[in-house]
Amino acid sequence: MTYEKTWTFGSIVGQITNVPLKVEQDTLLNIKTILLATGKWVIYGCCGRNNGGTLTAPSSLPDTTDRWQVYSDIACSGNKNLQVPQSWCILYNDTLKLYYIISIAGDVYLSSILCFTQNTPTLASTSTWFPVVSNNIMWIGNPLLSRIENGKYTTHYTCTSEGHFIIWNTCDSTYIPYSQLNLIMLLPITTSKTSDITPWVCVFHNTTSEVLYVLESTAGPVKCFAPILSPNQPVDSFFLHYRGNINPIDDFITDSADGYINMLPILVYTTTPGFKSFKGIVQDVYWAPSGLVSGDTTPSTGQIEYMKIGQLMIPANTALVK
Amino acid sequence: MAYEKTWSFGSINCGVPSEAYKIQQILLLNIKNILLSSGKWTIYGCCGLNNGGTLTAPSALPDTTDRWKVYTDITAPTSNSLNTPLGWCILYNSTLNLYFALGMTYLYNGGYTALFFTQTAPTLSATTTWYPTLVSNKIGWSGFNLQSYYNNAVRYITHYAYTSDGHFIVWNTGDLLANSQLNFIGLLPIAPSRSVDATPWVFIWTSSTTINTDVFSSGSSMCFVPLLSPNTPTNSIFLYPGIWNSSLNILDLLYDDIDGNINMFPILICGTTTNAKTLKGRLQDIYWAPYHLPNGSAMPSTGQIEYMKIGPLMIPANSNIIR
Repeated sequence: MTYEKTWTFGSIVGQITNVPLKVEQDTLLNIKTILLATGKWVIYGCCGRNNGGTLTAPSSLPDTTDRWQVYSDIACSGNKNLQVPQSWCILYNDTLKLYYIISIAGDVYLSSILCFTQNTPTLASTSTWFPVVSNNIMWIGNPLLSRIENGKYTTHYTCTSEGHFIIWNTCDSTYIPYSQLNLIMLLPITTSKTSDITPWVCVFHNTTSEVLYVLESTAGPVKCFAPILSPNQPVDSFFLHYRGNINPIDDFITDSADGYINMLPILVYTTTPGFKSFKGIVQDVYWAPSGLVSGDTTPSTGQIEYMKIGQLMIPANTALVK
Repeated sequence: MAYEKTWSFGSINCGVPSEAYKIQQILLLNIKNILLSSGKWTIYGCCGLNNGGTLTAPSALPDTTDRWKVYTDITAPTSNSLNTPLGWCILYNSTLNLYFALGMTYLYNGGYTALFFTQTAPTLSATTTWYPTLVSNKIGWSGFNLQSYYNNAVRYITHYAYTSDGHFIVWNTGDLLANSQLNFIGLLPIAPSRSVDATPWVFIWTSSTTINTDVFSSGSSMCFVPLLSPNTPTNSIFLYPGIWNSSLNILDLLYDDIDGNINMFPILICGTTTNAKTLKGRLQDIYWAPYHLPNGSAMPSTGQIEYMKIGPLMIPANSNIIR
């Protein structure tokens, strides 16, 4: 079994904290750093304090200046309004023709803003406001990290050579180290028809409740989308699993003869009226048996390895990602 | 979209058989001829009338003599039994390391057949004209009609598609209720889910005129996937896509609203035999079809690459050849 894509792996170890704002800031800073490290994402515009200064936005776009040098450069607006001064960063991937805008909002409960679009963002009338976007997939929601414990947080990542990514946090707190499964993913899809060129699906997952349906419903805390690149319209979608007169996800943990872990393909099906169609199969990410616990891995075959995170088996190299 | 395997297509006109059991004989003859024409199957042994003679079996195996020249060479007993003189033929595929033994076991009640696969070389029975002895690890089917529906004065056609490795799909249609006689016989390739399952395949057949997804999960069809280590065929089922906590039946979905694309979902094979319950892989080039699409519906052709609905399946086809 080999990966369909070329994946790289790593982790960024944070500081010990129990301050929710700092965890959010650290995670956003890590996302930017991870994506830039792929070589596929570049800064299209960045508004921040630029190593402790005043909040400064680009005067025009594109502007490659990185004003997120340290976590505290990412200023929190104090509410969820997009039209207030706040830190934001636009990343651009020329292979996927995709902009990714990340920001932080917050009130008493911190929120993160994650936005994908294939249309070029523009500066708002006040440049420090959140940029103007269209045809976008946006999540303004709960903290990236759903549970805060007094511990050392680590951001883990795995990225393809094209810039798809999976990012999640863990904590070395003794309290359920794999419960903070805030998956942020941009996943490649094997297309089911030629008109859907290089489709992808993005997933935001910030619940500690790891039940299957959260990845199969647009009504829950998870958002899945598959854009149809012609006519370039992102559409709602969900993940399908397989069943018969058995439910292999629930019923089978390992093959009883050889201990093999069953990993079932994930289908992406869109639900938006006018676009109800099978989009394809997520590449290199699989449904995991429900009986396994998060952090379990398949037997390593060198660099080719999988780890259970939530309901998913994702590419991993446990020598690097723990 | 391209096929994963290289497929060839064709049809054989069966004429207008005057008796139901003659369709079974003709179909057995057609299967033999189709597999030989693939170039991947050879005769390992054949017992028949050899163009109207007396029933003759090989004196030893292997024996490449083809004694099934015309359908009447395939004689059958008047009592349904394997241990009685009858027409049988063993085909062998060295690529799949597989023997396929066909026989006609009953002349009446529409005609019964026996179809068995094994990876262990069959041997002659004590009486050589009896159905061969399949020593171990055999999988197959005995005792039912290949053709479930017969109507007098109707012309039947045997259709086929086979891969360059010798996998095959064979089914009949009739001029009456053109696509209702879907006696599906398939030896299908699987993209394995793990390296130890080298070149797995699944054998399925249906003899019902009512075909739905259930027959591929349980009921009148049987599915097997051999684990080549330890080389034991295991029971298995076809899995279909669904969603959690929803009444949505994916098979209800017909066309994409915008572009008319027919949704075709991959078919997974999962083992059900104790100690072999695991994902075996995915069928290659064969997909679940939308439930409401009529049999015989085809995907828009892109040259040789085309699909046709047969029962709940979309199979490789070239509708210029197979109708």
